[in-house]
Amino acid sequence: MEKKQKKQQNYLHSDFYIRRIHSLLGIIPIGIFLCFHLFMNSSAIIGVEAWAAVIDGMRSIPFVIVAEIGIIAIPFIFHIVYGLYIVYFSKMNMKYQYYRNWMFILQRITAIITTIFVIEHVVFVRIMTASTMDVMTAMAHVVQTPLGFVLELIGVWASVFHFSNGIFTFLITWGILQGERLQKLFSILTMLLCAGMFLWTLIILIRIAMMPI
Amino acid sequence: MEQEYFILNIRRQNDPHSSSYWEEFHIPYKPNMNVISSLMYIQKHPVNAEGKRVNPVVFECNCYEEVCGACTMVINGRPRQACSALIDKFIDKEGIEKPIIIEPLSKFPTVRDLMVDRKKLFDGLKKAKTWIPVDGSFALGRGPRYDEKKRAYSYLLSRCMTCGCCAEACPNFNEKSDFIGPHVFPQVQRLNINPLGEMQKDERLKAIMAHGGIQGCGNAQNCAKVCPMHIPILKSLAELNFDVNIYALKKIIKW
Ligand code: HEM
Repeated sequence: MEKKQKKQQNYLHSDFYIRRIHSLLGIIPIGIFLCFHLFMNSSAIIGVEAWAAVIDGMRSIPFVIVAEIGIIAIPFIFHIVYGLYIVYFSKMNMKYQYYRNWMFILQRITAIITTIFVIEHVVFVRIMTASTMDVMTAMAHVVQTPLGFVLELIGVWASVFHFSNGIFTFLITWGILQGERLQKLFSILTMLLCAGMFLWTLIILIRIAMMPI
Repeated sequence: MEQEYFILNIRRQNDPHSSSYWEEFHIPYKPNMNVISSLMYIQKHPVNAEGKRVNPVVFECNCYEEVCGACTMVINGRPRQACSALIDKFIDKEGIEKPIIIEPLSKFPTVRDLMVDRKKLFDGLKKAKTWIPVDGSFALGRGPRYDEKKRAYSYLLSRCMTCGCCAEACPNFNEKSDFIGPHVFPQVQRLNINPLGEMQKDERLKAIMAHGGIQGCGNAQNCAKVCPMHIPILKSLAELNFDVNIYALKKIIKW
């Protein structure tokens, strides 16, 4: 009996570690991947050829599927599944009109938008494509319709917001932002990062929309 | 002619199991009233806005000076103490015609009307072992000296009256989750920096890493906004986040 109770306690103890892993995965590797992904696809700003060359390069990495599953898919699935569980257990209350309460609510709304966006993006741009040309047309055809462009933009905004605000909460979760003024500073810095990443991606998407594909 | 009474709109409930209902009361205006004195008026004249005699509204109060926390309720959407909720301020801001909305704290079981059972708050403190075990069979002599800086910080943390405002405003403290509540962390940190309490620091860290512990915080930070004592909850929480992470790392490398 006592042993069983102890075992149960140990099991319950583990949710601290799971939550910390969830937090860590948001930055390493998912956040880093997001930055890397935007950076690689910035080649679209230069032009069709540069973009095609980069996608070709990515596609030609040997055993890239191993990295895709091990470094991206598994951490992502963990973060999403446990993330949805976290969203379920919070009782958002818009009655409190405080800045950080809004950020808390947005972090959860963007979590859900990002889940949908990422699934859509992976299915249509990664799984259902067989060549570099396929990848480029899949992206171009979405952003070349006004509705597609707007939906893509919402998905991108959700992802970069969730990531930027996530950096702020990550730094609290890990006990780094302790002082009130430091928290304020990082609150501003992370939102500047969000705006920067959003504008950067907007330019990429506009360039893709203008491509003759 | 100007209206000579103000209006309280109160969410009432007859017993823990029945559903709540709203009832309005008109209170003759006098200067310098607060929500407690208005509720006391209702006890003396339990007549609702329709002129019907009803059961007086049940509420709790004790100190009348915002240090005991007993009269905590939700007033115009914000958890606070009824004794420091001044009627003149509401009237200045919104006018005398606008009803003042009064509800019991929503995160705790209602006993009756505005009276709630805040046991969950004390359960949280017990789980986190927020005490210093010094009882024994012989005198231990003088305790160690208190570093002045730590003492000053500890004083800020010690002003908590366990009123429940922070827990009420916390999105992660609710019936679905087992989160022990924001009020626990300032008390854990207060004892962890105490020269005597420091000796059981690891025990408290372990306690707040258990199910429902510090990991349940989602950084909405409403707790600090509504705290009537302006306790540095966020600072103590971030410090404890650091400490539990170090503690966890130590445990992992010594596994
Ligand atoms: C672009 C992809 C994503 C990135 C870069 C990312 C990154 C992050 C980061 C850095 C955090 C902060 C962790 C912390 O506060 O300790 C976080 C939190 C969170 N993420 Fe994500 N995330 C992504 C996608 C998702 C998705 C698809 C979900 C779907 C459910 C999700 C759910 C959550 C939730 C609920 C939190 C809040 C956790 C908390 O308050 O403790 N995330 N994310």
